[in-house]
Amino acid sequence: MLSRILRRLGWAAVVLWGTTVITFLIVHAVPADPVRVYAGANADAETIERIRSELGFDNPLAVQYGRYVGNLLRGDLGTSLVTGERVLDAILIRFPVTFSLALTAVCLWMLMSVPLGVLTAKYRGRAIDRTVLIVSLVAISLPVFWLARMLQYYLAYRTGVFPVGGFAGWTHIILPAATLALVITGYYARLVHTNMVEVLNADYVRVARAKGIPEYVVLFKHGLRNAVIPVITILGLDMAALMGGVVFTENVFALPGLGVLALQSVFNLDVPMIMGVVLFSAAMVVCANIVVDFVYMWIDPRVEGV
Amino acid sequence: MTVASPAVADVDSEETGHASLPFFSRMLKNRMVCAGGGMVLFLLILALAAPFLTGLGYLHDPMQQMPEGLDADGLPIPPGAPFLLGTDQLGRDMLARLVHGTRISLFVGIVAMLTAVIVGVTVGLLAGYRGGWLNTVLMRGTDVMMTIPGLLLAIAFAGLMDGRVIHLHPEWLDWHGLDITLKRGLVSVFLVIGLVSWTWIARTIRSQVLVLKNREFVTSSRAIGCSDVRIMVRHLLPNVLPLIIVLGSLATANTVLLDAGLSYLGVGVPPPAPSWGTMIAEGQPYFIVSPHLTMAPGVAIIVAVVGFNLLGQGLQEVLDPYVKEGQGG
Repeated sequence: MLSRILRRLGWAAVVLWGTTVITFLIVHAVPADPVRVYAGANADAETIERIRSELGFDNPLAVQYGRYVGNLLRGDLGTSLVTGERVLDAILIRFPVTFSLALTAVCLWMLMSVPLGVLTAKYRGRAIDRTVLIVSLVAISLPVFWLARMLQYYLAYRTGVFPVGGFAGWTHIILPAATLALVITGYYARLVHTNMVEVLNADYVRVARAKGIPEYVVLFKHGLRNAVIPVITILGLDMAALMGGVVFTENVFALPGLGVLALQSVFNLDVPMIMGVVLFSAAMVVCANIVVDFVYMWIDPRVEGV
Repeated sequence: MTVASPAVADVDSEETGHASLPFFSRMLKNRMVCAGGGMVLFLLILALAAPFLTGLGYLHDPMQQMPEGLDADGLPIPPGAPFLLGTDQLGRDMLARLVHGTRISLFVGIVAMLTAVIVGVTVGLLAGYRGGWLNTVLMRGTDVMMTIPGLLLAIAFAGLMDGRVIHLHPEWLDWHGLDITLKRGLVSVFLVIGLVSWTWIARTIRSQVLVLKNREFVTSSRAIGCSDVRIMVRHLLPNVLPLIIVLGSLATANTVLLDAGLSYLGVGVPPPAPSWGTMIAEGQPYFIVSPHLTMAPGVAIIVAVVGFNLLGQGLQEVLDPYVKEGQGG
């Protein structure tokens, strides 16, 4: 148990270090010149060069990277070139919005897809099974930003059931989270379905049924608990993709979260902010994976010894 | 949103049982392959025919702002009489823009898919066959790439392109045949999308190679002294080809979606090029008066993505025996 946790943490450190390398390379290998933006349109060449050396952008890449990692280890993500805010502060202010959005979305889609998956596995090949199959295939193909716009107009603007946008309390999270969940639910329902069909054909399920155990106990205790294990693995792997979906929904629903911050800082060429957001999101994904790992151990006690 | 591994999509259908039929009739028997393939083929034909349709006068020029394209209040014309799908906010023919948009979306989607496939297959083959430290390095790298949200990476990458030139040759050589201009445009978009979507392909190919490399035909090739490169290219590659076809089709669904998303966020192929995502972004302020500006490109994206997804899933069913037995190619 302890060794597993330690191994996870070590791995998390490796992943985060890899993320700093990749983001640093991308941001610095890419052609845009943040100093020119920072100095303003009317700055002369001399001013630009002075600012460049003040900000340390004229040092060799290795030196810049070393300084960046050194600051990181002291918990300093740098300062925004545009607003002068500390990057970590800017991120922490917006983090609760993104976090609650992502968490609500995951809860919604798991709550919807597990019963759907069990139901379609039970009634395999019937009309409901086929319908879910087709609907899930179309749902997974919907562009999130487009679906978000449609729901925003028809469910929020026209009926007024949900707030149209902005963030002022948990009601503002429901529709954006539902958008994300709608796209993915069908896919997860299929995952649960496939595993469930396999499990329901296993010998121990036949034995359980032969013993006269009620069908719902067989389905949910013997079946689901085993069928959901591979699904949990996929869920951990999907966390990074979820962050991508969050960028779209936040932009459409004007939620002041990390996705909006990322896009703004890209348009402003705010290099420290871009790197901070990407790094922080990767850290979120790593943490989510550690949580998933614990859920995994709880559901499947066999894993513990590994 | 790009979701999970295309490779774990289920193969739970009764239509797999025609093992005795020849390959192509099995393809045609599969309803998903037919429906998806039909949709993809239709879009491909549209994309190829677009310039000719415009040249022969069947379609308007997608860039041209028609004087009769806006009504007396300066609003877009709804779908109907003069323009089949109406006009956009600048009085340009929506149908022409949609059809020409097919060219951009499919081109970016397919080239990005090829980029992802080339990177993913190379990484997967090397890691799976060579094993050892190379496997550790490559797969850990893949894991890191999977942890960083691909969309954030893509917008960071795409948004920062502003036209510096990379010289692929020494500075003193006064020849610019190999210069690469990094600017926002088709090339940067498909490179960006390709480079964030190869990870699943690498993982799936690797696990398939791990199964294949212990089989007799690999052992015997090694016994008669084939080089590693030859074994990978001539023996392993043909055997993972069915898997590559399935992964490629499913990956195209994702790259098309990602292209639309990047365009929507304003870091894709820059306007005035008629990209579907850009059309939605530009049309949505007019949603209440002219919903067709948002609806039409949305439906186009959905048709394309559903087409590639259906095709991929269907191909997975048809090719599954070849994937499992490893004797395709």
